[in-house]
Amino acid sequence: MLLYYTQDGLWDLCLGACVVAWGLGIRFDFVALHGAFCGLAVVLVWALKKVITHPRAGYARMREGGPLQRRFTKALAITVVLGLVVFLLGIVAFELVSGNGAIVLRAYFPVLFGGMVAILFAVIATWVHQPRFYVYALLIFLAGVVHQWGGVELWIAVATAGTAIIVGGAFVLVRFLRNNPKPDEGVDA
Amino acid sequence: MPEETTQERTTIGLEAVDRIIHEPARLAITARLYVLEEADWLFLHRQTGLSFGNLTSHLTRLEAAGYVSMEKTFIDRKPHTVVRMTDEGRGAFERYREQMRGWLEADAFT
Repeated sequence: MLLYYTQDGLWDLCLGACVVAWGLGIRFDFVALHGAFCGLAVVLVWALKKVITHPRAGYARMREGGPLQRRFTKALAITVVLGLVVFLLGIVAFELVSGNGAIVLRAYFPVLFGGMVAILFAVIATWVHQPRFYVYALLIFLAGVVHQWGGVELWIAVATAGTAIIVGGAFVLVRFLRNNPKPDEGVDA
Repeated sequence: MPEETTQERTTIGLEAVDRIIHEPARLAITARLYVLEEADWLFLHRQTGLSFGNLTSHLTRLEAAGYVSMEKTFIDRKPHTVVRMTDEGRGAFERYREQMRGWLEADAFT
């Protein structure tokens, strides 16, 4: 059932766009850009679902308090909490902590932060049962690694990972459109 | 004769199972509707892989049994059917699930 929510690749495109925005936010030192863009991307996905997904895959609404919604809510809560932890750790590492520990944290911050975001993606992969999200997690982690030890600028590494995720999402979307044509005229839709 | 005996053995304990839900196509429909508030006809068609005719036929049977309700509307002059599982249908599905679970976990196979 959860495949219904991820089969069109729109969430992949949304996540990819958010990662690209994250990279651009680093480049232009404008973190608010990232937050605003992510919010816009989520709204856009809901709108596109109505235009692209519902006419092809049909429409369904989860039952309030039903088993599927309980599982969905639990997974969403875990993801949000993990996301907040990642965000707060980032702030703590950069702004608040002092001493030797912070120096180590600062030195390896891109890898550590990339790893935490990767864990977030892996959690999403687990609850939506989509192995491709593990690949996205790996891409995020690799962005931190290539910046840390490869000398690539962080914003380029992150934006490249985001672009790769967008390409993956576009591939899934094209496959979805090909496999799920709109029903013929007159057929119940 | 031995075939009859085998048939009898495999159905022992299954007499009370709701045949309306037990049918594979209807089981596929009810299992999906159970976790949903509502779904449209196209969603069920895609999810179950049933043909247009088959899906309509099974939904009609489920509606006749009072397990689902169907609301037919028009969107952009196209027919649009939204299907919901009734409380009676949910109860029947839960009973069916318990019966099958009990039967499969019983010592019937030992």
